[in-house]
Amino acid sequence: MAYPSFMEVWWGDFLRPQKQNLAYLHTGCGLNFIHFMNNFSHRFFLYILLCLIPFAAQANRSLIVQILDGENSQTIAGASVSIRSLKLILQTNENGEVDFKDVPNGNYDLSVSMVGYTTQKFKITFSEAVTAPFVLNIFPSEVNLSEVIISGRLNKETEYSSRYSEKTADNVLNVISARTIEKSPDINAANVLQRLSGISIQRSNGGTDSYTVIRGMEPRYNNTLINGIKIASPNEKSRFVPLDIIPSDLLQRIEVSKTLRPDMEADAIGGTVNLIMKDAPDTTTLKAVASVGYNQIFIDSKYTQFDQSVIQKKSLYSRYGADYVARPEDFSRKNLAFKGVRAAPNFTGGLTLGNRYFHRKLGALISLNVQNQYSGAESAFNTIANNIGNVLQKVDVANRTYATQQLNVGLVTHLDFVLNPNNKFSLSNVWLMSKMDQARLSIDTALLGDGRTGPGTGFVNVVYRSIENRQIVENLKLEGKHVLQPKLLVDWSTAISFASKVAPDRAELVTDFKIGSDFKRTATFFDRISRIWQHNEDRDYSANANLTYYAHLFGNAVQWKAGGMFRYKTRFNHADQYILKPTIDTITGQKQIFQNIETAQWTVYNPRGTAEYDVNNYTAHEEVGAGYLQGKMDWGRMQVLAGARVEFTGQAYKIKTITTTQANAVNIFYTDFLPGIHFKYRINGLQNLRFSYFKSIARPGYYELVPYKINGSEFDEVGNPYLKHTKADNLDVRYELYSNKEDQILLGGFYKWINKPIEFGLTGLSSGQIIYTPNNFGNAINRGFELVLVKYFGAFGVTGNYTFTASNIASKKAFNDSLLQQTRFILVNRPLQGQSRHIANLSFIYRNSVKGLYAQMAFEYIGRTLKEVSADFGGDYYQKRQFILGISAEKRFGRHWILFGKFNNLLNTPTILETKNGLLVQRNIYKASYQIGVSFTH
Amino acid sequence: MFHSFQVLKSFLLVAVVLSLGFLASCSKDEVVTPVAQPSNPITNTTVSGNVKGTMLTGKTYTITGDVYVKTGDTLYVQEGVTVNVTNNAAFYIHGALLSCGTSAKPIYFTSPTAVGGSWGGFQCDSATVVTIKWTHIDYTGGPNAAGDPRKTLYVNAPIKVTVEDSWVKKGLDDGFRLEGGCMISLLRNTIESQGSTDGEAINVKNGATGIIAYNVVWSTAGSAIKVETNKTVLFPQTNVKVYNNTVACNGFRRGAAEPGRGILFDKYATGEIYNNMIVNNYEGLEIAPAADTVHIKYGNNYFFTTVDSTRVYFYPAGSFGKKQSTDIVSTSTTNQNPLFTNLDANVVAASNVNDFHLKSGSPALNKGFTTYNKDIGAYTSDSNGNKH
Repeated sequence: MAYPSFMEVWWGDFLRPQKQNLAYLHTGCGLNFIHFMNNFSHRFFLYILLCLIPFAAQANRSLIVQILDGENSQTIAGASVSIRSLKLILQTNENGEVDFKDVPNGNYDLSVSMVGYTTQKFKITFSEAVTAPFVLNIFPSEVNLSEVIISGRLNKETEYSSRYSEKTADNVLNVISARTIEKSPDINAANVLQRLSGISIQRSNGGTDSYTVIRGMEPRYNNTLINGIKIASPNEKSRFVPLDIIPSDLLQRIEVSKTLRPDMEADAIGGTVNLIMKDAPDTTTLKAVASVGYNQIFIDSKYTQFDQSVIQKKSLYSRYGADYVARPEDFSRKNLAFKGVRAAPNFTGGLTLGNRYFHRKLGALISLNVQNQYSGAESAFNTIANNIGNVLQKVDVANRTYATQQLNVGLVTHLDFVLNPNNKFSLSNVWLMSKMDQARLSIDTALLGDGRTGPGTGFVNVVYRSIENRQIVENLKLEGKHVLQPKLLVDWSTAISFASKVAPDRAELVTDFKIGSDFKRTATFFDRISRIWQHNEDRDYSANANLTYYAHLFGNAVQWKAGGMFRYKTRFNHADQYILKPTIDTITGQKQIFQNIETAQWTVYNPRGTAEYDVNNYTAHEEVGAGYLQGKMDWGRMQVLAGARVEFTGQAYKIKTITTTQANAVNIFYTDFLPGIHFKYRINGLQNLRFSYFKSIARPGYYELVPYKINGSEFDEVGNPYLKHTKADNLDVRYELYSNKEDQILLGGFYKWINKPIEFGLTGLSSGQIIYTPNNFGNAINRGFELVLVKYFGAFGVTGNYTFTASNIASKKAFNDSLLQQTRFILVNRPLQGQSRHIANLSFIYRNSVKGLYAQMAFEYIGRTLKEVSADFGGDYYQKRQFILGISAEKRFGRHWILFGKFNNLLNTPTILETKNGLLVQRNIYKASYQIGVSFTH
Repeated sequence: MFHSFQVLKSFLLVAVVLSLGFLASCSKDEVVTPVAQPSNPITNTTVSGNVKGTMLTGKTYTITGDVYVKTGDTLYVQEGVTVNVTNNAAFYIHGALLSCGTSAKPIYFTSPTAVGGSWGGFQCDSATVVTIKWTHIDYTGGPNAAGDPRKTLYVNAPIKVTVEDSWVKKGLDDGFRLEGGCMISLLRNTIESQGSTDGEAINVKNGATGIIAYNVVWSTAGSAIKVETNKTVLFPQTNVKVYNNTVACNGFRRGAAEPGRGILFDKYATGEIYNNMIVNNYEGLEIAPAADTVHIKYGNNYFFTTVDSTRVYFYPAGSFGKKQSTDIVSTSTTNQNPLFTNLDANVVAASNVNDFHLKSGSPALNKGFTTYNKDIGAYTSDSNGNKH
């Protein structure tokens, strides 16, 4: 308690930007919640920090023990080493070591236990003179492992724990652990996930906003959890959670479930990604990491910067109310003035502190991570359309450059309390903030019509855009586990999940000129400016309870499980847009010639903004209630888990529409019955064979159901309140071989019948009243197989996976039939959007635990991917196959220090989109990134 | 190894699971309940909200907020009605719009402020029928609350649209924007000073078909008459007969990068273009390479300008459209002067002193393509021409 003023200052500084964000985000009832969250984070953090301070001051008269696997001499992390006579128990670190402090000289009985190994006892003699570690070998057990129920002794950050979880899980699971992540070239959850079998990542053009595609199923078919709880989405329209904002250093592990048990939420046809954050360790932990880096793109060219300080945090409507009439001088200019500068270096830093107190009953952990990254992209984008003979041609070309700064801050705080072996409580909070600033310059040339008479001529738009946004995701969870009787277990959790995005003053300036048929260029004219203030908020309140009962049925052990969950979600999106039009030039009487942003003169076309009736403004709420019953039974080597789940969904949306004769609110209800059965046959202690069937669903995006209408130049886009949710029947089979603690071979196949998938498409062609709308266009099939291989040969290792996916959906395409003189729909078979036929990862690893060396060369192959579905015949966009190389390496110095480097995209792999017939649509170049850092572990 | 007893047990467990299956009966698909609002008859001269019924002859109505006419309802405006629109309101028509003025008693839709952009016009995206006769519609083009600019008359539905003998003046955006396969008949209208720095007077897209004839259009920011289909969806094709229109002084305010034309056929549009009087426009008649150049027919058009620099743009170079032998193409300010009653020298700003009636002896007389008319221009010597 000696340093509260210091910490107040430090924490206060840290918290201030957060409070500002939130202050302009929330009005009315939102405030209470945010105050609560802020106060909560604040106190929680302080309390834990204070608890953790004392462990720094400890003596150094040490008894060091190192535990090795007796079969392959690899160090074992996470083994428990106890000295009964001293009542000491510790877990081995990454290096397989434990360090008992202040141990008197003498003879001791040591007991070493580790999940999957035989518990072994050793006698040692310790004196101060002994400085070298005691090296002890333990051997794997061949006994079948029972499920860990309350407080497993398994360190879940280790790679071994991943294999162990995959092997013993009731469903089809892939796991990647913190240790593996640390040693990979990856710095955020999105990068990490794409190393996992069957997963690829979908990114926006600027390279941010990353979402998972699992087994060729796009993000809408997957769900994302943090610590097992569905998290709110900061996206203003969809349910997705961007994974690039989650620093990988905060993760304990990522679990991807590809089959769903009845006790899991059913809205995952592709799979469920569970991001498990660090929790309190069994031993005192201090870890600090810092690194710097640079991107090749900013060695080669300058970083485009704009003045962020002039951005008005609130729109005029929000500041002055609905009656305010905006004036031209109300809009800043400098955020539309761009200049090239040298980019600052990238930086990442993190600190993790963890300990246990009160006879190990109370565990605490905080983990903070900060990442500041500069990235860029160079992009050429063509719009394509069919001509009268159904030959695709480019109708528009745009060259774009992006310069992006992304600041990610993540804070994980965790407390758990083991009241007694039968009762455990834990409280954890995850707070993620991501601030993004992006400048985009786009030069758009119309290639069809609009004054074009031949190559190099026509109408050109030069568009400048600056964006700033802040996303926040927070998840607070309280849970308990109780053994009521030896055979009856209750676990429960309640959680509040919050997400928001604030994008103030997204400014876009459009200028234009024309190159005539004589190749003379006209002056550049000032066409228009748009300014958009947008913010959205998403909140979940959820409660979960499960009852587990161990019984016998006809002499066989049966685990019965029943439970339910309820989640109430609210969300809103608020947008306010102003359009600034150039004043007529007083001398020529014509449109104004554009000199620069400082001298441009404009009038405010809609001086009251659009806040009252913006098409993007909506509120929504959703209730999901679920109950399930499942039983798990062992017959010798066969385990069967079977049961069913019922999910009730209620959804309601409101939009303020300017056409009040249309529906402006919608209420939707539906119920799903979702059976599932999972077989696991243990061929022997090393091999499993699994087979499962389950039913799952995907709910439409929130905004897709809202009856919105966005006017487009060629056709309007409208929402569809009659959109149905998607249902799927899923079959899975997997063979698993765990030949030792590290090595594995997994070979699995899947088959999915997807009923009413949701796709965007055109309707109304025959009448010319064309709209683009989300719809259910029939059924689809998705099937494929996955192969995972991990094999170590002494110091060398190979890890890899390969996924084959083939899906098929018949969708309508607009076909220009010049004979019949009509554009009509024809059905065309194609894969599901986001699907890559082939995905492979291959890593070569060298490790030497004696010298503390580790190096990894990670290749990633993403085959041709259907990226965007077009309404045009033959007009779908495919991403060309990609071959990506990353390298990471680390060297340990002493027991505490590690020097590491992470080098990504070393082949400068471009992202190229083309049509099925190879017409180039888009080419993005990101270039390589380099990062070097150091970590300290105690 | 399983005993038969164990097999029995497994059947029992499966039976339990199957019995759960009966719960499947509680599985239900979406029940969607949209929430809509009712409409009220017009009983008062102050009008706003969801309405239907008749505006009575001789009365003056004030519109205080957006007016909505639902599908199945009709707004009928009798001759001689004056409607003052305030508060940037607009008419949103999903039902029928019938504005039936007469030569003796025209109808006025106007703004008391007399400033362009002060109200939102007629937004008939999904109307069932639109008929406008002998009606003035002035000073529209104010943005809607969502920030979108509003056209004087916007139709996006495959319905009949009839606009005859009417006047449109000083709207800030397009005058008539007609798309979505509507069947149009735009006859004998007068459109002046439409658009600030952008906007066309008559903008026809996305499969509209019909006739645009005997209209007089001058001082538009962009093009007087623009006809196109769509970049992506090429059918139904926009197919319009454009004949005997007089288009003058259009296309200057939008600037050189995006000059306006007297008449523009672009992106897969087809039709016929005859007997038009094309005078003092930034560019004259453009039939773009992207138009349906195979099927378009044109001729007997009359080109004249008092702005020497624009004479080269009668048919813009590099485009598809070329001078036809039946055209009358002036080579100087004194050559082939069409002899208007009055032609303002200021081509950029809006002007009210223009009078495009032809004096006797005009070279436009008797030079027309007789399928449509023996004369060129909107003011013909027979009774079919513009009556204003």
